[in-house]
Amino acid sequence: MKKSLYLTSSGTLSRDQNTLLLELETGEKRYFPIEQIGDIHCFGEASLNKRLLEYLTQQGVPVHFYNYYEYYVGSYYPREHNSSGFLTLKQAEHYLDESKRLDLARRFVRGALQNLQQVLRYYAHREKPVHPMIEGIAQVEAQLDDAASVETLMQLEGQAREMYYSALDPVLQNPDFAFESRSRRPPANRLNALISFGNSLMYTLALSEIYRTHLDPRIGFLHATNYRRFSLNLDVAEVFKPVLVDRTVLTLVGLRQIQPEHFGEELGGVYLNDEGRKRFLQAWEERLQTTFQHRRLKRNVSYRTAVRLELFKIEKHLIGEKPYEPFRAYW
Amino acid sequence: MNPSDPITGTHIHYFLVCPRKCWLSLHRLEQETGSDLVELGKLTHERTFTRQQLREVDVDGFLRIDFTSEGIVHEVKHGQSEEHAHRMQLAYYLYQLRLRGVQTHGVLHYPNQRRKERVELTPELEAELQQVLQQVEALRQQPLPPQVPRPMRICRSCAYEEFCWSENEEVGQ
Ligand code: SF4
Repeated sequence: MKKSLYLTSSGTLSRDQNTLLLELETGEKRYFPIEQIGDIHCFGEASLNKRLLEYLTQQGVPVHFYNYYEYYVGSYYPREHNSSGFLTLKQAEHYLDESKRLDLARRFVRGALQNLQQVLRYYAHREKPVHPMIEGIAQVEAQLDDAASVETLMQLEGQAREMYYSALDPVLQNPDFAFESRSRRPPANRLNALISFGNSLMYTLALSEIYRTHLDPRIGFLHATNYRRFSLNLDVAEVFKPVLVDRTVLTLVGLRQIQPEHFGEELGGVYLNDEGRKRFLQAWEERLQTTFQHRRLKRNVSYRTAVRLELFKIEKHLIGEKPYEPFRAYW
Repeated sequence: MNPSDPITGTHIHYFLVCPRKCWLSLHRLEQETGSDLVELGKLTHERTFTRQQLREVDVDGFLRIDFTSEGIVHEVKHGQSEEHAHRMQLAYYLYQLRLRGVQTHGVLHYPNQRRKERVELTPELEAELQQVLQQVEALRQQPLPPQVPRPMRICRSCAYEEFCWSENEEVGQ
């Protein structure tokens, strides 16, 4: 199975025969066999040249860049190597046909809401006072069928997310990691910083997996397509954020693996420092490699694979074979 | 959907193994070759034949013949279970070559079983091939891929496995 390469320190990345060579500022050299690399995430300053980009294109390895504040900056997304004119037309058709687009958008939101409830149920079993929030989200879910526009669906999702976020303080009961309210740029406190970082990783994970399919990441359904930016990955991320990002954050804080000392304050915002980022990335990778039994494939699959399977389900929806049913977590 | 795409030897092979696989391939829905068996196939190739012999021959951009020597067409396979599909794939190459004025025969190699099989384009084999070609064309016109009710044995080693069986049914995640 291919792995993500997370570059947290600054250095130069180049091609050295048939391996990737990373030269750190300290002069230290590290080699990575390219066949094992699924994608590359650059957090520090990275220097690279065209020869490397050509190599990455040939090997089908996307690169994602983040700035100092761990925001997603952009990706080097090698030209599609796997495209199917047939599927691309179907994808565009589902975007242009309003009822088809609405149907798909609703499926993404339903999946997201069900997984939000599932995460809260997990904590409800651990005696956390989150029943009212679960019910609140269920009520929003009941309104999805009546939503007549993608905008309404987005609003409903926003409402559900708010109720969900109001459960975080009762779940964590940790004054060092009070949530208060959602703040993005800049994150106003530690918990918000963790969620923002995790969401960036989720968006790039979905993007990398889309690269392994025939889907065009520029054509999303819930998130409006605009031809300069990726949006399908945002749709898919909604379904998985509760299960992958939020659970990672809550576990890291709950087990006190992330502490106040792992953050710094800058430009009026709160950010993970080097050590904090490393801890998060390690927990994230562990989460992605966690496996569960897949009934149809009759083997254990990782959550990372689950994201790819989700994309295949979307492909089957687009070609008209089977309506898309989002991934549901069962613990 | 790509009505002008020519039928390849691989399509013939796929059709006889699993028509769904053939449909997906005809619609350019190929999956990454991450499958171990695909890798194994390559290894069988490389271990048995020298680089010199292993020059894949590309005829008109769509017939990819493993290699030729002394005017004979060779196809190397690692598993025996799809023998008839292999034979038909090779028959298709012979047929296409004949359309181009080349009369020859072929050899299927099963290096793992230390076995070879000579394949001639007999009238019987050609009639069968014509039927398959018609069926592949008809399959291409179908709006949906053929359904397979549940995973088959061969799905395990098929590059489409994750695509075909992505649904996790209900509970159990
Ligand atoms: S996974 Fe099974 S059903 Fe799907 S194409 Fe391959 S052999 Fe056919």
